[in-house]
Amino acid sequence: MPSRPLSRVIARHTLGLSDPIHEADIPAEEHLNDGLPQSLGSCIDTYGLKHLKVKISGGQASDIDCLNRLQSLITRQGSETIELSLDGNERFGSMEAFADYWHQLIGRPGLRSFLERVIFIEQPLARDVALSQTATKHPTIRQATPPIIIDRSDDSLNSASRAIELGYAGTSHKHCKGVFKSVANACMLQGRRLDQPQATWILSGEDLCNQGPISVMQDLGVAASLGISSIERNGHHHCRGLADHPMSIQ
Amino acid sequence: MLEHHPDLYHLSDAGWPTLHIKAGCLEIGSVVNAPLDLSFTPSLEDYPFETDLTF
Repeated sequence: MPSRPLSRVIARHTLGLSDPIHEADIPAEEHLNDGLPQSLGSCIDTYGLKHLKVKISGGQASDIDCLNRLQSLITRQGSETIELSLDGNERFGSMEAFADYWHQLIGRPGLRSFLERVIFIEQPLARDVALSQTATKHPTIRQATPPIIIDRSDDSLNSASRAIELGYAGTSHKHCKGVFKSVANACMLQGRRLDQPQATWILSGEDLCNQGPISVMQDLGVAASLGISSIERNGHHHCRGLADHPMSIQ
Repeated sequence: MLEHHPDLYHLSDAGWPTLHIKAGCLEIGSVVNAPLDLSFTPSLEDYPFETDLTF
């Protein structure tokens, strides 16, 4: 565990499959006008985002279109240092199928250099096969794609260790899955870093849209103690902060 | 929250407190200094009782 909690963390913003990338993507009747940015472009402008989590569908045409539009937006806004994680959303049946998909993506003109920004990929395989030796068998998966972590498959005390043995690079902390389970995972991954410093080992984190005043504090405090420097955070994007709390709390 | 955690929260343009994300980051020094706590005792008297809620 880190000797001190982090005092600053990156807020990783999620782009869902149907989320608007540009303001022009939002139909007039769906403009929220709630004082918060709505499209991804507005969020990048407002928050100066460094990390994005992009959900993929597994459909090459739609994913390529989304990634091309995202690349265009980032280039136009001059946000050239933005890095990405991809959420595979359990859309694949084996690592072999995912590796084929990935090679199709990076084979597209213009996407290869953009996809060098991907720092890890989350849960590409369906839960029922994600920790199966047969489905995860791939001779070069650690070299062929960015690091891959489990997320939804991390459902027991030993699932992260099992995933590491199968070639995954880590897992994701969610408060609801147990604080001490994440402490154990953080220590296990730190052990791997010490044993194999040349490899990448990842403990990601997600806020699951938790809200202030109390849950945000506890969630961030635990993540900072675990040393998670980049946390998916969407609670502030989908709800109106502390607007529904009494003024004395605000 | 605004008074005790000015690094974590700021006022949105609409006038209510929301997380202050700047340069893509959250400053959480005040969170770390109040581990798993709020740094103050909230007044719960201002929350409506369950019987006052309408749906």
